Amino acid sequence: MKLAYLFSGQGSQFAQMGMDLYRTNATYRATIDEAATALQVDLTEPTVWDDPAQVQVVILAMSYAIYRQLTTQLPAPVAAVGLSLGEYSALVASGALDFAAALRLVRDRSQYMATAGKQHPGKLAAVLKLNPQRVTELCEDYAGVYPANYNTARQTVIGGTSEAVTAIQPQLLAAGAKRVVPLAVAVASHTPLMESASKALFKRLQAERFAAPAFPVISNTTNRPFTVEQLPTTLANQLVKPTHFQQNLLQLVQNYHVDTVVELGPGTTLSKFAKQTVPNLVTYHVDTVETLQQVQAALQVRSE
Amino acid sequence: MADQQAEILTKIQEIVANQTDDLNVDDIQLTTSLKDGLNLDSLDIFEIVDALEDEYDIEIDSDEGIETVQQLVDFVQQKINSKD
Repeated sequence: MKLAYLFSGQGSQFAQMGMDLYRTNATYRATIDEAATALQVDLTEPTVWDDPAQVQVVILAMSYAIYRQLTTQLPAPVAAVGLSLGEYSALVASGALDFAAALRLVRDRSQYMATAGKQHPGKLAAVLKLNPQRVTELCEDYAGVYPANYNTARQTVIGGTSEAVTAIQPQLLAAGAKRVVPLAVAVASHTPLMESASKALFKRLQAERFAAPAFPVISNTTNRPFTVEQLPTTLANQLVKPTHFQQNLLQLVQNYHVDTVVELGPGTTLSKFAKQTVPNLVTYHVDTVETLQQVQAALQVRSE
Repeated sequence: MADQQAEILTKIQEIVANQTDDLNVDDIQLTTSLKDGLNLDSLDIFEIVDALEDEYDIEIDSDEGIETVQQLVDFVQQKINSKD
């Protein structure tokens, strides 16, 4: 088995997520408690855990807590990819970023994004069943709208000002898009509207120390493995450049010969993208006690 | 009519089970809620509708108001029959 981990981004969080793991899994609980200490917030309090303002740190803590549990039981991964926020979870898992430092970094990143979003309110929409190249070309003709996430061959998310995202819709449909689905977010991540957040994050990253990752983490932005030297630049650019998750998945298979992926963190978005991009990949996800047990049973890991 | 319903259900089960390795055919019954029962979001539902359109050569303009598997089966059946 050639295993890669996929680390969830935002968008699939659910209320009370991870509480069953917290109650029953010692490693998981210890990791969440560590996060609570690093952030000085009570993460056992549902009003804190489910607070939209905390969602980025919560997903990081949850994803890494599951990783810690699984990594003692599964073979070492040959590579990892996270989507957007998920890159921080992947970098922590690889040892490139310290967990406590990453939590504070992600907390600040979400504040920079919220501030930039207030300065330049934006909108995201998923464009379905139109060639990503065509979506890119059409965006080039419109001021204020950009490709934000190249998710699969059939799904590209565009982002920009509310007016521009609305204005481009008829063109996308005329070009053959099956549907344009607005996403419920107020911040146009991965577009130039995040310029001020990107700059603030770059400055903030100067204060951090990084270590060489134990396994390659493929960047959404460059589609190359993160390096210690380029880490601040790549993570800052990530906020203003599109993510290339489809390319990341293809690279996992082509360059790293991955045949099995396990998504860590809330939801199944990345497993579904993986299935669509590489149908013969074996996909799992872990975000509950039940799904953890399924993966442990399926991959026949030794019990603790 | 019942046969046609059963056939559409089988097709839906096949499509949904193919989306991830997490769902089994048995998880998908007529009374199952697409959103809460199967954890599907609007983009997932689109993928299912899209596959059904190709399978039955029908056009589904909007999946609004479709919440359960039964409603989806009824909707597809109605589209197929209005085509003839």
